Amino acid sequence: MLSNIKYLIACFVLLPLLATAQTPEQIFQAVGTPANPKVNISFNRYYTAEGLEALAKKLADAHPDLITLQSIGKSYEGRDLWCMTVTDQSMGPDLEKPGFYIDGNIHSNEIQGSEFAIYTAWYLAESFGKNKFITELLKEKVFYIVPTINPDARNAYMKGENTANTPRSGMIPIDDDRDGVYDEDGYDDLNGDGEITQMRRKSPYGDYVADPVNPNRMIRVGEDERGTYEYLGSEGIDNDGDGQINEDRVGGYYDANRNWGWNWQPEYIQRGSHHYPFSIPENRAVMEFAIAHPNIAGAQSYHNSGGMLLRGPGAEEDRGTYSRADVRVYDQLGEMGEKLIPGYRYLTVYKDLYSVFGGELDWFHGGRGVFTFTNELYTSYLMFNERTRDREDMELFGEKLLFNDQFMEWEEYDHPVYGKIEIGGTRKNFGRADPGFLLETDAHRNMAFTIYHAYQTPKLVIEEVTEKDLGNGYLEVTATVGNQRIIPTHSDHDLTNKISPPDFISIEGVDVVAGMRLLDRDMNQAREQEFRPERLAVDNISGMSTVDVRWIVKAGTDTPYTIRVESAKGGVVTKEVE
Amino acid sequence: MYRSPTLYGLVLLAGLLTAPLWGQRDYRDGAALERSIQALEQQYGEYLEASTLTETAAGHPIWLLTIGSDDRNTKPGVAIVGGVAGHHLLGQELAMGVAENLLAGTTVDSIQQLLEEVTFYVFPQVSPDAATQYFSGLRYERQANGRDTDTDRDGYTNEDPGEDLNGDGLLTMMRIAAPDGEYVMHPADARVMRKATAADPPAVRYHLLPEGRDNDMDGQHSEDGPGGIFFNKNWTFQHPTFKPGAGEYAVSEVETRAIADFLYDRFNIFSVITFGPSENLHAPLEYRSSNDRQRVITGILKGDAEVNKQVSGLFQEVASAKKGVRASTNAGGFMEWTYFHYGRFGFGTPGWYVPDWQMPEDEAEAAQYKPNDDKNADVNFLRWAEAANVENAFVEWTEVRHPDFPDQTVEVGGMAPFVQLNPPYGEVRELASKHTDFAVRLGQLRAQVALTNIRQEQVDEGLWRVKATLVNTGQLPTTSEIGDRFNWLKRLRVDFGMADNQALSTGQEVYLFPAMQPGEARELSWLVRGNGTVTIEAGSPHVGTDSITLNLQ
Repeated sequence: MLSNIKYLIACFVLLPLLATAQTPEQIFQAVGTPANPKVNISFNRYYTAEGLEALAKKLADAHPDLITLQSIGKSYEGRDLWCMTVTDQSMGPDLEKPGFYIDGNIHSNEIQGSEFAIYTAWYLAESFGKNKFITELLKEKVFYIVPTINPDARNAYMKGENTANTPRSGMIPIDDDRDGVYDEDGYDDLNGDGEITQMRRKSPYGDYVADPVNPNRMIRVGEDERGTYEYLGSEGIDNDGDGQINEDRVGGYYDANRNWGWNWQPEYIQRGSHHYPFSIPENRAVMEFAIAHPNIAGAQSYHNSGGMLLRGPGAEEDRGTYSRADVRVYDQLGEMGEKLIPGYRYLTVYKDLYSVFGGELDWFHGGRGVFTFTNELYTSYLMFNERTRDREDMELFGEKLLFNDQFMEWEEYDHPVYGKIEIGGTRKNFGRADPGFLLETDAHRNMAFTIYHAYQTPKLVIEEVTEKDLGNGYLEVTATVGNQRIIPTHSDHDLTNKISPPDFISIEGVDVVAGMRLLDRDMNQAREQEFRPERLAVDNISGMSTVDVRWIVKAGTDTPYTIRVESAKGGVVTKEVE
Repeated sequence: MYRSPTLYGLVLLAGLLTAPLWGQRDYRDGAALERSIQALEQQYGEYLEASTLTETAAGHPIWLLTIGSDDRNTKPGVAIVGGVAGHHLLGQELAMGVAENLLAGTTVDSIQQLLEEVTFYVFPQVSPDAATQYFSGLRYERQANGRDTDTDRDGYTNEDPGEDLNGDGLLTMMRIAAPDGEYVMHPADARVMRKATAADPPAVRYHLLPEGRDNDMDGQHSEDGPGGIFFNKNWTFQHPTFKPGAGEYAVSEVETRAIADFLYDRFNIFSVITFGPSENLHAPLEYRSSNDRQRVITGILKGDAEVNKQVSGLFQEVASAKKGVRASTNAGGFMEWTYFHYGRFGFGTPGWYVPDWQMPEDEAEAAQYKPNDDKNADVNFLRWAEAANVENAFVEWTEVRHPDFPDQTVEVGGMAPFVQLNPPYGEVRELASKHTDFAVRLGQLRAQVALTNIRQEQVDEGLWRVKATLVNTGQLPTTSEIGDRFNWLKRLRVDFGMADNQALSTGQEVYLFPAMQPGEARELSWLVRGNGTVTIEAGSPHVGTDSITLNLQ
């Protein structure tokens, strides 16, 4: 008996200690993951907007030489949109490096992109100085990571009366039914269980029966049968007396991902596009940030679900904005993505999904010339690592791996309109959001894809500089500038529209008499630039290729000078020549 | 001859009284516009609220004159916009003219009545930055606002403006004789340059370029000067993204955004009249089946084309429209936006066209003029300008030394800026008057709803049948066909209000209806249980409302 008491006391004392972190000596690293991070984050759960903000602050505080945190604007309800700038700050200003932009959660119920973004910032910062590849990456590139670009509605989804599919948009009141009153008929948590589930009613005229194996589930009966239940839709009542239930919800209907400024179309062509490009304040904040950071050369905007690596065109009408050469770059990135994230497919929006106007990726590609992907996160493939649509397999997953945590059991309820009904069914955190035990894996693989994409943004190198003495005090200087990655400094679409300025290759420290672009070095074909010959404008430096420029300067062979390359998306590179 | 002092005195007095309105001798600059607006406020404070919506990047105000009575924002509204093209000063004068005439007309019953029922929102000048170029020491047709941009997108900003090579205070054109030139002198008038054809030999050819130097040696002349984004290229309909003056994306400028936000908030506006380059009043836009065959609608819809035809007919009656003018739209334009994206009855006109000059009847006189076979507009304009005594319509070709063309003959000259788009100021008053008449008639044409044929029958003790017919008693549909497709215009709403002890057996408390055509009627009926007072209210913000109260006892 006494030993039992001692045992109990021991448990009481030890229990809190078990909750604190292990000491470093007790830890053995699992390969590929920082084992002793400065910031400890659980990547098996989701965070509200405030939760994400707290994590971002912790990361910035713990890594001041790598991460700066800034608010890029305010949401409709006045929350900050936080951006972490992640780079080795000792290697020059971030605007002079190729940038990679990541955001998540543009659709408020598509939440896990935010956790994936936090995971990316965390992994990069914690691996710097420990992993050679990541260290080099952060010297050369800068990551702009905005975990959520829809914090208001993220919270509304998590804490408010919503389903797995709502509110999708944001909190700006929209008069969906055009009756002059706003947001007056949303979902209602009738039974007060904190969830918006479904309503059903026993009926001899119904289309559904309860699954005998798992009575929580409803199965639709065959065409020629009668069931025992009617499905009545999501939990709610007719709040505004107009004969409809839940038709004018808060946060309905506009779609932040239809409001961007490339080929924007009005509501009757593209539902949800709102008033005009960037009339939605969160989008405006991101747009202003992107325009202020013309060094962004690659981008990712996370959605859910379906397991896809999406590129544009979003609208069929925009096929002309994707040339063969541009598509080849996307193909190379997309095909690598399919290898890194089994179960995810590389697809084109208008062709493989549906044609939409005014998407974020359309504006990044069409309006800024940035090679952009949107990943639709999580897919049923991840349940058993096979393409399964078998209902039994899905059942097995819920029952044996989630232990039916995804269901609320059916409860009786007295409805003012429908009478005696039952309320229950699947919860909103099931189906689109990664289950807890799959979150970190999915985050890591998607992060790896974005790191590959970021790695392939231009890397400009002044490959060689040769001199030729022309006599009479004149020197001919020839410089070869190369791009050692697959993404060009200008996409074809960028070149067609002159979205970004040209790349400038300059020589400094000497008097320049003439400057020219060498179109063919061997054949000595050159095109002279008469205006400011010391600063040669080059349209583009393609992926894995070089350009040659030449100056005739008044200098001796031992005169020092500097060659300088300024590219919006390729960064600034200099080479001093003695 | 001696004139009585009394007569002089009377004339002076009359002049003083109308001075605030028509003391104008010329198109107004920003300061004069502000003075005019202040004068109107002082005189007509009961009907007018003047405000500034915002300031442009260069610090000029966007004025808004709200004209009406009492709760102005609750009445159906018409917006009137001038200055969408910065070099079209006439647009400003027409918009201001309409405002001034409406306010002066409040002594007249019909106008006063109209302003009780309709509110007018007048934006006299929405390109204030660009308009300053008319009054500047260096005059040229400018549409760009004051926000400096890299117009030719070559990595340098404002590196190649025009230069006044002949020192006349204007930017016109240069012609350079060259065998590979694209232009030749027009046979009817050697001052005018027209495009060359294959038949024109090298000896008579010229290059035609904007007056100035090629400062950045890129082969283009004067392609990147001060500014800026064009107001009339910055809207979402067919936005020509990245083209000069259009902007990085639609509605990018402070002033376009402010106006868009204001208009979207004004659910009561049912029509917009734009004084600018786009035209659908002298001639209507036409429906073609290709307009709405694609997902993206590029032309007016069928029902709305009918309305355009009707209103264009009214305009031609009231404003004596010019024959042979064609309807036109412009990519990124404002008038286009008011219809295609804002869903209102959108109308536009430049307000004035150069009249067709007629060959004189007298043969001797006619012999002076060579035939203008291809109906060249410049030739026509010069002939009309001469006959109408328009001064300085043309700058004579004068040779200059041009550093970019050291061995060639370069002449500076050409059509003077502004004069082909803006008539001599003396004509403005009458033009403003005609366009005011049109605006008034359009206001009177508007859709209106009435609850008619009200019947109440007692079916039994405490059981009543109430019936009404809802009619559109106006001459326009309650909503345009395009506007009815999306949610920036409210549906027609009918509310049936009852006492607490009453309830409905049939019929709804709220009905929402789509657009009603002029004369269209809807039957409404309710079965009410319980005695009490009921009210029926019908309408929408942009149509107005009608209501009726019945005592069911």
